[in-house]
Amino acid sequence: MLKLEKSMEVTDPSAEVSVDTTTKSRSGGLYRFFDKWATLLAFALMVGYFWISHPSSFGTFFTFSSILQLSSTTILLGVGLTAVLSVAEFDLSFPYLLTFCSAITMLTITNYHGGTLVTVLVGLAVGAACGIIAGAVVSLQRASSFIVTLALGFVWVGIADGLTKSQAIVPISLPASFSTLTNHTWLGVSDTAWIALIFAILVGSLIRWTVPGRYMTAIGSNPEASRLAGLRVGVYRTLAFLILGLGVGIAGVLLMAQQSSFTPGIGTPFFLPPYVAAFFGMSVLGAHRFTVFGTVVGGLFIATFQQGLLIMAAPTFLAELIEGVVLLIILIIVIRADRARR
Amino acid sequence: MLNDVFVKQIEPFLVEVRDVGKYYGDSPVLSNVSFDVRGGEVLALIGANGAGKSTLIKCLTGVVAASSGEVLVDGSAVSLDSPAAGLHHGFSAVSQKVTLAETESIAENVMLGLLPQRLGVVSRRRLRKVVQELLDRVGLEVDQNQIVGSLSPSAKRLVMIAAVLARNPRLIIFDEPTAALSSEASEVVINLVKTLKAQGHAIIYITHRLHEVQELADGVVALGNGRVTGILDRTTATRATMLSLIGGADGETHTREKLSDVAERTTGGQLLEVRNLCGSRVRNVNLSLHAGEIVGIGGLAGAGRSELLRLIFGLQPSTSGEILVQGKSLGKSVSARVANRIGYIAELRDANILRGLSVTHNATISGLGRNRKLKILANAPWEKRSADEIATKMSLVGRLSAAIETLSGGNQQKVLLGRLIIQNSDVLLLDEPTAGVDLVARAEIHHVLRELTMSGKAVVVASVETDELTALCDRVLILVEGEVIRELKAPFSEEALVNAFFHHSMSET
Repeated sequence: MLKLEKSMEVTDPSAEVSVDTTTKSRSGGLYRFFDKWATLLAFALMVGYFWISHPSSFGTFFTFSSILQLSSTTILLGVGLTAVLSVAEFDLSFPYLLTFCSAITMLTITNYHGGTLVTVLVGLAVGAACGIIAGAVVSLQRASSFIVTLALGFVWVGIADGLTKSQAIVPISLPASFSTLTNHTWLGVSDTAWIALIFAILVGSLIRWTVPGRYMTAIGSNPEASRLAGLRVGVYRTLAFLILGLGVGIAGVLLMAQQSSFTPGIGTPFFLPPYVAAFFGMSVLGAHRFTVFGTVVGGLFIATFQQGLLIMAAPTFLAELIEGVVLLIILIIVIRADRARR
Repeated sequence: MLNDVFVKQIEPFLVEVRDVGKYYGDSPVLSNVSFDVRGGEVLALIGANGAGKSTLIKCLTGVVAASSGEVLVDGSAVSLDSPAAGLHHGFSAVSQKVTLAETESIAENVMLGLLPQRLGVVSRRRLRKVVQELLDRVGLEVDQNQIVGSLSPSAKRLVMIAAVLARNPRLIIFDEPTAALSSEASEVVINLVKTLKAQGHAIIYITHRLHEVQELADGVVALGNGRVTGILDRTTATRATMLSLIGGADGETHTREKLSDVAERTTGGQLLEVRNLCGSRVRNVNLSLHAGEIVGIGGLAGAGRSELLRLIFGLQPSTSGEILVQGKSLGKSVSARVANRIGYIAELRDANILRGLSVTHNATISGLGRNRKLKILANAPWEKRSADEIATKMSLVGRLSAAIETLSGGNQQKVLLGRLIIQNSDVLLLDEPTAGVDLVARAEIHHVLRELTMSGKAVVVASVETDELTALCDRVLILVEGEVIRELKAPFSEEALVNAFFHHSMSET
């Protein structure tokens, strides 16, 4: 199902004898068990390790709610990315779009005195509009989404730089209704985490239960076959990019409310975690495809080890290093499992 | 080492397959399969889709390891636990699908993976010579630097065979080598198999075409449900015996039934009109399609059969001409055609199926939009009901909740046909609807198509198989170089059809 090893298929004459009648599982039960549970087991082991080594600081409700708070941006971006990945496209522009949305949000509330409601709407609208543009360019030109979104990313960041003159924006004061947007909690959990969760549930339901969602899954499986079945492939591809854009817009607004300042390149650190989350999600419960649920679990996984490293006072570079390594390991696991299923 | 490839005669040898079995989990896909094949012999392997033929090949070439049994070469057991081991013992397969790097040259495809390890330093001149000898052996007269993508289907098949010969095989397995070829192109492949046999290779030849078995095989092994259902020799391998062994006896009667009811069938109103349609190869095709008829598109390879269907379905831009439904011209888009109740199944099954999605979801995907009781939400009970209906109607074998790729080719094709039924297509454009489908499934598919025409649908079938066109169609348009040169109306004989293909080309030259 993954396109990551497409070139393999052409050059391997022996492997393509015919469609297999059953799935292949070499060592049967044990293999299936690990395929399903390995990553969740790793997650549990990690939690156990942090808990036992730092029982007083890790094993608290505060840690739990911090993890949820910490994961919210990754989840918002990751869930949007999952929509794009589920139509078998990629997006490299979202960190730059996040910078752009953040800049617009901050400019609207400060320089243009937009008021909180207008500011939030502008932030979301910019995200959604840019998503539609990305989707339309990818669909109309049938160009590689890699290159298209890479180029668009630089367009977004270019506009952001132009608007902010590449300067940080540190307002002396912000309307209280805006800066307290993320201060509320419900059941002890911050509202950013709830917003991310609601977004995830909405997108997850859309993909799982609705006709457009079913179309997106079909397109992800085989765009040409979907076209033959009469689906308007471009429309649903664009829908996927729109969902991502919306997620980025929400993340941008929340980020600005949280930090009360804008710095150029604010989106860049959010490049890798959503990918790690989405691919982690592929391996959860042996799904072998991108699912919103899996991505949420992946987002929590990343936030947990970030929080754990924080408690252990580990140097910050370690987090990025580990994220990169985790993504590589997951890719290897997923691709191997995928090949074994053939 | 490379020179060994060109040894003209291979020493006599014997391959014995003893009680080979393969289990996936607890379910046997193959059990206790035993047979012998000698150098200089062609053994035909026949059986319905899902009988275990493909699994057997995978076991013999080391792509999967057999769960039980052994394979002996000249009396000593060989281990076949990897594709490399298979090659080492000289077991090679020419796969059913074209597995070539389309953008590379013939030479590179033939010698793929053989350059560095055999020659050390790549000598261009030597390479040219080696490839040329291989191409001569398979009888392919083209420049070896030509890009594979530009070759005809039969030439690609020959390149695949040359690539296998480069690996110096003793046992060559052909998996339906002619399934996607015209009868003329098939002849080339069949003659090559005869030559290879004469050179001392052992050959296992898999096919659904029984006349090829009768032409080629020294022995026949029939498989059914993973077991050997019979072993025949030249004298006992009659068409009737083979059909009964693969469970296709009633498949024949289904086909026979038809010609009699052609006369009774009346055609209804016009569903589709094609006026002066031109494409890159297709020229000035006119077609008026009426409810209740099955129209065949016949012709040799490269005549433009597939292109005609692709043009009608909007997959390829037409240079001129019109396609009308109820007097209104269809635009360019494919989705507009599906909305106007035109459905299409492409020649290659992989172009149609949605891998990883369930059989149910594959069947209902294009019908979801039609079933808009709840505008947005997918209607799961409706989906299940529709898929169930289709499964019953087509005697589908397989679980509806399983991924589509777990079904055999014939059953996948039934699901695709079911998709067109669920999306409520009035016009069904089918490109080689039974390619690579066993005789039983083929008869079932034909039966369903006839039923559909009874309920007022129209079917257009492009096929290389003259027997299929003869058995199925009310009339056949014969394409020669993109032009309709004749139309045959039922009843017509298969000979008349074949003659029509060739008559024109002969009168031209």
